[in-house]
Amino acid sequence: MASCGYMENILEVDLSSGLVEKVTVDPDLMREYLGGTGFITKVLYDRQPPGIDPLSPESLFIVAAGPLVGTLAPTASRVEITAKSPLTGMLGMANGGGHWAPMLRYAGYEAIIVRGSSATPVYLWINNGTVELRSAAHLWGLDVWETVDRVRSESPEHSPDRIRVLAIGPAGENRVRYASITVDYHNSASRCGLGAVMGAKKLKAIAVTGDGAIKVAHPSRLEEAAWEFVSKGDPHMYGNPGPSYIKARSLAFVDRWEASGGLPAKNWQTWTVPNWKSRTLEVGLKYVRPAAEACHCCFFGDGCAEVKEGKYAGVKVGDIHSQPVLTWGAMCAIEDMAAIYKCQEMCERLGMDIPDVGQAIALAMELFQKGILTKADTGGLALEWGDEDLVQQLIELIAHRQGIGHLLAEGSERMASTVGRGAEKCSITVKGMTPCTHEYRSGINLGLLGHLSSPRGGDNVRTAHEYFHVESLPRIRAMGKEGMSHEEYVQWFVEHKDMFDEVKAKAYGNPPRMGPYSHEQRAYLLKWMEDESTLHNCLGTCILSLMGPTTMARLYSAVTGWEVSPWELMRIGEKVITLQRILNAREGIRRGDVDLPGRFYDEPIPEGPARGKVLSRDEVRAAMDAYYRVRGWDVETGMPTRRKLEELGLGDIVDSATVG
Amino acid sequence: MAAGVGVRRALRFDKDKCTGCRYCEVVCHLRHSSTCSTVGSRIRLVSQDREMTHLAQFCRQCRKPVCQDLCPEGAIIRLAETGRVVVDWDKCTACWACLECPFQGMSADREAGVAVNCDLCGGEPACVKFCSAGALSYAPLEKVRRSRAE
Repeated sequence: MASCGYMENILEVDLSSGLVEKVTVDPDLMREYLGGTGFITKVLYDRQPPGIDPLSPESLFIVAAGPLVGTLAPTASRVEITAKSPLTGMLGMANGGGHWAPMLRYAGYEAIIVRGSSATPVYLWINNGTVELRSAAHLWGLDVWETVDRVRSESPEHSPDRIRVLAIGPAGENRVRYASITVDYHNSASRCGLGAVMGAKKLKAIAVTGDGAIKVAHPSRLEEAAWEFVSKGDPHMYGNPGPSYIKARSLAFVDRWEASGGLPAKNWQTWTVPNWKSRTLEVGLKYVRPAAEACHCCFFGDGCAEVKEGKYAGVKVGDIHSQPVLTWGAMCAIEDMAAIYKCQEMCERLGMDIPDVGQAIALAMELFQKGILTKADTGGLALEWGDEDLVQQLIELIAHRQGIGHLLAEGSERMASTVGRGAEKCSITVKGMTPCTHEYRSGINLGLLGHLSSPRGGDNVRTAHEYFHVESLPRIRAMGKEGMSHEEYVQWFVEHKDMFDEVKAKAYGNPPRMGPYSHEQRAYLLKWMEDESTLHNCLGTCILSLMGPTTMARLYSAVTGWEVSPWELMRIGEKVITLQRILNAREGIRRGDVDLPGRFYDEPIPEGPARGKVLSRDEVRAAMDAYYRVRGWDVETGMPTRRKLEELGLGDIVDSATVG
Repeated sequence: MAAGVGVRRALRFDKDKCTGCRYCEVVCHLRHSSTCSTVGSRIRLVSQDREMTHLAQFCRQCRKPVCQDLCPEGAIIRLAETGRVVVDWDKCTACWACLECPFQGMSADREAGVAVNCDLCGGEPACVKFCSAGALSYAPLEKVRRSRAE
């Protein structure tokens, strides 16, 4: 093993037999795949055959840190969790922050590979070299916060905040198909239903404490690289985003989306909701409190919110951002901001993904509105838009799979096909997953395309999460920089952006422009963002840091002593995402199986400033054709070509089933 | 001599600004042992993470250090010139009596077998440098004492 950067061992846990084994980390594998999602992807490729049931004992459940996690590298806090998704049947990948993954490394481990399933509820306890499965019979049924409290109290010899816990709530136990895994109290690895995989394995939690340290090859180089990024950062972040963005993060954009008719409201039927003034940035900020709960070595940190009075007094959420407001406030049309935070807290505690649970509820409301579901189906509940008490009741019913909640727990797509009677047309999913709740119908953009290209379903977090920094003209103008015209700002931005010159030329043109982009320009931007995001998920840094490959290479070389260039790292990012494409192809998924919901093409926005807008199938297809060409993947099937695989050093795994 | 030494400054912590990111612990660890961890650094954060509140513990460089009274070997002294509290490692026997400091300002370096405390990084504390939230500052001693009294 490299003497620096990586920890000694990986844990192999067989829940069926109760056997726990320590396996030495293979340095060659780490050098080739770095860690995190790279490591996991290779393990799944080697060890998990296609076609298995994600909720069966055969399904592998893997948790991994990355080589920068727990070090001084900015934002290196992330835990990558992966199994086949019970929601989509594809690769199920979720990523969470907090302080769990650093603690796993201080205890001496890079990753945990879990197989089998336990007959009775258990939790995994790791204290440096001591690793054991403990009964979780007394924890089964508890919500996540209660679980963390109890697990910590069972080892009083440790300071509570030195025991870090990944746990599922009732939703995971009851195999809700979009159950999440919560990291301590306020972070989560939410998407793809991986909480249900833990639930099926009867694994309630993984608790870890350790007092080791990570060896660093070049301490002063590490500090220098970390400081340079913390103090200067990426031009995205320091192009004068304004005080509201710093304080409220993406919540700051909500009003702008509303003003342009860009709210995904009432299950994507419309784009405006009445009385939006109760859910504005200004109202949201009233609940923001001082201090926060930032992830390990995060130099910006999301704000947190607390409701101090009224019906929801005592509600606390660990981060504020646009998704909960758009999901509960627009999608389900809840007006009261405090109720929105309440729904967010409930999802943290019960362990459910906010976009999926919110949109399952919104779908049910639309079906009720259209008379496809009636009180006879809902157990007497009237599923009316904006009814905050009803939404909270439904969240509970879903987490416990009770009443109508049992149907909604299956996720929008399965739910619609069970209901039938035209419900399928109202189900808004991409590859079986509900999209991130942003506006997409008003034209092609990177965020939209990122849903189609994503290896984990209908979601752009691992593909083009930061698209609005480079795509939305009003946003770019608002970012700006003091004393610079828009043109000067674009010039400055592109010049300072940590991106290879040849990619800059293809993506932004010469002289540089930030939109409107051609399909080919977008394809280059999307590929770059995907490879870079994949790299973050290999190394354990956060995509929100907007860190580029030059900084990542400096940090990685300083920590491990293995000198790598930014080009080598980006190539590993590309290789990993290509292997993820192969894993999905092995499950039988081809380009032709992936499309946007019909509503995005066929139902023009009925009202508001974006009235009449609708996407064109031809245009979306052309944009994605360009993406596949730029990727070197087959345009018809979406599968990597033999040539591309050989170029990436994946020639040994070429077989006819996975090559386009 | 680094800036700040001799002007009698001390670490100041503002709990309302702390985000609990633990950059202070990791950079302290790196500076003093060339490895990375949040465990065993000379500044420690105690988080009530469910409530999202945090407190930092570090040597307060007290005028009348309790640790000095606790040390049976006379290994802890206070430097008159800078006001800094230091451990004479030649005299320290690792009895850990000083860990009873009411501010938890002393730490045990079990590998080296000596007690350690914040040395203010020679006048440019790394924890302050990396604290983007501005919760830690390196302020004139009198000001720090005033804010602690408040």
